[in-house]
Amino acid sequence: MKRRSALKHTALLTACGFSAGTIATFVSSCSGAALPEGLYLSAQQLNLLGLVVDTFLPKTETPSATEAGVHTFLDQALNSAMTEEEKETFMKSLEVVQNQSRTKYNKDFEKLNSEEREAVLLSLQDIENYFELLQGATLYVYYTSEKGAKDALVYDPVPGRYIGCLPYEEVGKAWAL
Amino acid sequence: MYFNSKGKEEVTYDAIVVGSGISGGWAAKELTEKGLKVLLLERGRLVKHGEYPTANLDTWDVPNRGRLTEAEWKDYEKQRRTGYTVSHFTKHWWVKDTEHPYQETKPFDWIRGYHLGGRSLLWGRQSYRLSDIDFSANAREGHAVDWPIRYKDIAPWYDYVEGYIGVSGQNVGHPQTPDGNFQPAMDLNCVEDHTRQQLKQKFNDRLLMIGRAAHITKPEGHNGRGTCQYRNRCVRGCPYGAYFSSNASTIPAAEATGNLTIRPHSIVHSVILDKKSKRASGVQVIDAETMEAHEFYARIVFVCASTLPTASILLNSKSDRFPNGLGNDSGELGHNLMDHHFHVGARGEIEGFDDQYYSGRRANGIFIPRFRNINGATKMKDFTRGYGYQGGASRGGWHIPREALVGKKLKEVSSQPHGWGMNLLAFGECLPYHSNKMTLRYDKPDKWGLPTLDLDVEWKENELNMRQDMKSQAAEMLEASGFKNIREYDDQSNPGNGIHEMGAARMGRNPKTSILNKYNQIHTVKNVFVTDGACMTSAGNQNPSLTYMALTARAADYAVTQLKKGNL
Repeated sequence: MKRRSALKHTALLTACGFSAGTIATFVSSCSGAALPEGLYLSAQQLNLLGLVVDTFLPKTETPSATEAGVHTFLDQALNSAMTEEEKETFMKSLEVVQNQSRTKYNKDFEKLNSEEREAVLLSLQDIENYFELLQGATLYVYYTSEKGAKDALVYDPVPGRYIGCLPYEEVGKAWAL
Repeated sequence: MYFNSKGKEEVTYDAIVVGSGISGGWAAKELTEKGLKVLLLERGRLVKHGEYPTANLDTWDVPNRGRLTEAEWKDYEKQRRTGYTVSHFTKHWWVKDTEHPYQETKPFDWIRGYHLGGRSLLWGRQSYRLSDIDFSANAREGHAVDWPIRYKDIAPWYDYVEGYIGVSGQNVGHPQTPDGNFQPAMDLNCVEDHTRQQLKQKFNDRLLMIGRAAHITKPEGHNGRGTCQYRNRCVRGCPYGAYFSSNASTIPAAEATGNLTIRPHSIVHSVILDKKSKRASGVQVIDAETMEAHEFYARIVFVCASTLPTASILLNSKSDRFPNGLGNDSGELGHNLMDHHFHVGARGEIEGFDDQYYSGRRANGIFIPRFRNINGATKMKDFTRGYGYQGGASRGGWHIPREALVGKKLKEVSSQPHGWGMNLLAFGECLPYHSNKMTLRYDKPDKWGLPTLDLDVEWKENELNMRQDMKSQAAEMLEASGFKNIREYDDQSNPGNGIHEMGAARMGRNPKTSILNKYNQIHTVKNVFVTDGACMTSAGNQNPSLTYMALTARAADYAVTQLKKGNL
């Protein structure tokens, strides 16, 4: 029985574009599929954050931000690592994203297509430093995640030697560490 | 404390070494290899070579990518002042300020760890010899007191120590930076090499070379230590033993003789003075875990607890003969504290190298040796002594693009390395001032009932004037080498932040003005030796650990010779 319900949940997660995380509880979402509740964020907020970070870093030949766990890391950081002030600013930034979406398109961010989502995020440049905050957090958490480091950068934990001058094309991307 | 004869025998050794860091490890090795039975006392816990719990962890393996939360920082309010020392990868190496308080009459960053090996596990590994311009500086200028030694006295010991610990570097024939006994040098990268050439062309007194770092680069000898793997995770402890530490090198060598006893959790309270002979008979210890007092006895004592604790132990060793602390007839004990002042220099960016990169993470940088106040032509009007530069060139890794990007384009651009930048970070000499001092606060004891330290140290006019030049010369050299967007910086630094505390029990020729003689012996208590940073008569601008090691080996050799002659 247990295995069955686990499979069911996995299917729901996949339908929502989430990889299975550590999240145990589920609530229903606007699309009818269940969304996972965050540690700090509500299911809707976590879903919104996932869409935001994936708009910054979508899936290409390398993993998307949510595949690298950027949104769940940020949820966990909100829960146990950020200061009250950091939390407040971060939560405000999500609110600003939703407000911009409604102002610009008269729709929730979740309902926008990817071009519209990109336009909403770019429009944040005019509002305090919310663009830098969300973009910076996404990049930092992504490239310091296992998937980001190993799949989107060049990861070599034990180089064994140092070569001071090397044609760039022999590496082709930034070193992960 | 009462001992029957057998009991006292059990706690009697030929030598006691206080502290297991870079100096104490060397003392233990040299003394045991010369046949002495040695008790090595360490106030912290045992750390066997290889017991480095975070050595192979990545950012995603630790909480919060390694960063401590505000709540977790509370234990490390002072240790965190470096900005780089305390993280989830390293916090087990640093003391909790909440457990190990000290007082600051003036701001002082006392950054330290209590465990076997001490800061030899955590040091920056840069290893430069002092030269006669340093050893003769005080006498030439009339500051403080003269060093009782010159370069020729220590040169063979530098050779010996460099050969044993393994220092990668290059011989360059620079008189202020004597050549040595080196392992193969690490590479400069393209931009550093470009800068080296430009400085050579455009200045007649500027030399840029690869740093001399205590890393094995040649796979032979060194008791099975491995070569540097270019991971740049040194501060977590090196499982290969590639950089020098007491744990990977001197302590195993001392243990191999069968003559070493290590006692962890042993806080030295004081050195015991024998009333009749006026020699030290041993040390009194408080067990950090049980709070019990113990006494241990020996014919000689090496105090290598690191500058501030060493001075603290001697100040706390009061007797009728030495009411102000052991060997302190001069009143200089605890005075003349020095550190290197830094956090000043310039950064710049350079174009034209974007088709070049490097491979491996070199835990080493560049070095530009001192070029000020060398001779009449380089004499400065508003400061004496000088400074050197460390730092280096690199390309940032993944980066935040300058233009606002989202989506596929952001991913593509941000995963490329940033452009090239170079940082020239100056380390300046600090003069020895009698007024820069530490005192013991008996009114504020720690949990073992020992007095805490109070630090009263400041940079003065000479250091502050020097900083202007440290900053402007960095910018001038970057400009001459073709860098753009050059930003000078002076981020200030409290004394102590260089983690090169020195000078609280200085060497000198005269017992009336110094604590130690030319063999690091207390002038008036000949069987006590101090060979850590406390012994320094002046600071130079070079990273000092290599000098402590050379002086320790030299003092140990002298001590054993004197013991054999029956003079100690």
